Amino acid sequence: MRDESWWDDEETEHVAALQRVLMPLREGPRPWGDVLAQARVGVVPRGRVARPWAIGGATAAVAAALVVGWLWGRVSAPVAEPSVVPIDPPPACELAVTEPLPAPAVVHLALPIPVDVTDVAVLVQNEKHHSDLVKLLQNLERNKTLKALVEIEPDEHGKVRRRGSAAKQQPNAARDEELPLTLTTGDIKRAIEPLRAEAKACGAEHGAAADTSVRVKLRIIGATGLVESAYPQSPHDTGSLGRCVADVLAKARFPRFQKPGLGLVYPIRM
Amino acid sequence: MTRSVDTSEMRGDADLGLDRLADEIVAVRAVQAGDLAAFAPLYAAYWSTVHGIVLSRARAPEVADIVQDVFVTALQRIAELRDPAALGPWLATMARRATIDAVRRRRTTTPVEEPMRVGTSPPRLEALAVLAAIRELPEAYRETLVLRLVEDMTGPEIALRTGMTPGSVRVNLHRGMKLLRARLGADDGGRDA
Repeated sequence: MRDESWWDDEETEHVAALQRVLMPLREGPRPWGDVLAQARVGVVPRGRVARPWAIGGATAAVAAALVVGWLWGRVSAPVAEPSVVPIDPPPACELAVTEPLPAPAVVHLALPIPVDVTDVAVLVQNEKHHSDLVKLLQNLERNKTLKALVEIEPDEHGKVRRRGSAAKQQPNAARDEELPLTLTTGDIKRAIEPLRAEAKACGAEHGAAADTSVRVKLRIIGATGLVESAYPQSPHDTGSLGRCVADVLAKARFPRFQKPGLGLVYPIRM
Repeated sequence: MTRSVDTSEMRGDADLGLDRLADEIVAVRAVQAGDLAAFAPLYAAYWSTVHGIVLSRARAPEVADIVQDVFVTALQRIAELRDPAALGPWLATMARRATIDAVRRRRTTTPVEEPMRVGTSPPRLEALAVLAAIRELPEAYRETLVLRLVEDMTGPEIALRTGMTPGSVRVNLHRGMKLLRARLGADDGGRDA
């Protein structure tokens, strides 16, 4: 739909000259799959823009969703699903499963879309309780949202009992008295150390000066030792360098501890 | 008295716009029904528009992230779009707000100075200088000029994608170009002197 009649010849020349100068600012769109995947598994509350580096919480929710999706595929006919995206199971799957299930190489998310997985965490203690899981999923399909944390575990009579909402319940691990109350500085350093080289590589990748320090705010879940959220702090809170470092630190695995969670800011010098 | 005017070309444009609009409405409804993948052609069609709107306000290094955020938010909130035909203006508004939010966040946390990446090429520096001149223009002209000069969109395309009237786009482009030329000319003159 070219309509150069809007311009006289002189104006057209100016426009063309400026277009040539501004050419370096043109760029192509990022892959559509990236946007789609982020929109599908985005775990930000409604009304806020999803931040790609907030993958700590996302990983937990995705892990729960993957387990549900995988079991759903095994115990029931698939729901009338819209379209399905293959997602490789993240290493954090053991968050949801105490006895690791034989996870397939590629897991298909068969949950009804849109499903708000913001606060969803499903702990499946035993594979025998599929019928309860099926009921749960049927409920999920009806409501399209699931905000309760559901624990399925047999009691002393072998029956399944469920616990209440996520906000009020602490996972079993967090109540374990043998665990330390919280993390020590040594625990934190030991958990970050294996990732330090990878985090430093972000500096070279994004052209940062040698003495640049990127601070990342981590939120760690006591029950699992996994990172719930990782946010780069100012002045790197909006740039790609901060996001890169935060993405790396979000993979850290800390020892479990009794407290529900721990927040800390960890600096990485490039 | 009646006048005979050949409107075949105008009809062609109008038909093209209507066809595109019909396709978009179908796609938006499919997305609202749960088929997120149906958004793919809309992403391709509107990426330049959103990119231009964001680029006219935000720093170049953070533009790509903001653009992606806009589309992710759009997908998550597509159910709130009551009129599927208004997708373009809806996305444009979302892009403006996301950019304003990003700029506001930056103002509270970081220095105003825009960091130059190590190894920025001279052509890119020149482009950034022209972009800076565009950003100093009145707000009404910035967005239209960036869509025209960076994204290579025509006036009618800008009107179609952003929901502005063709008349507004034409006026903004002409006045914006005039101001920009004056500003760039003044800069050159200053350097020469």
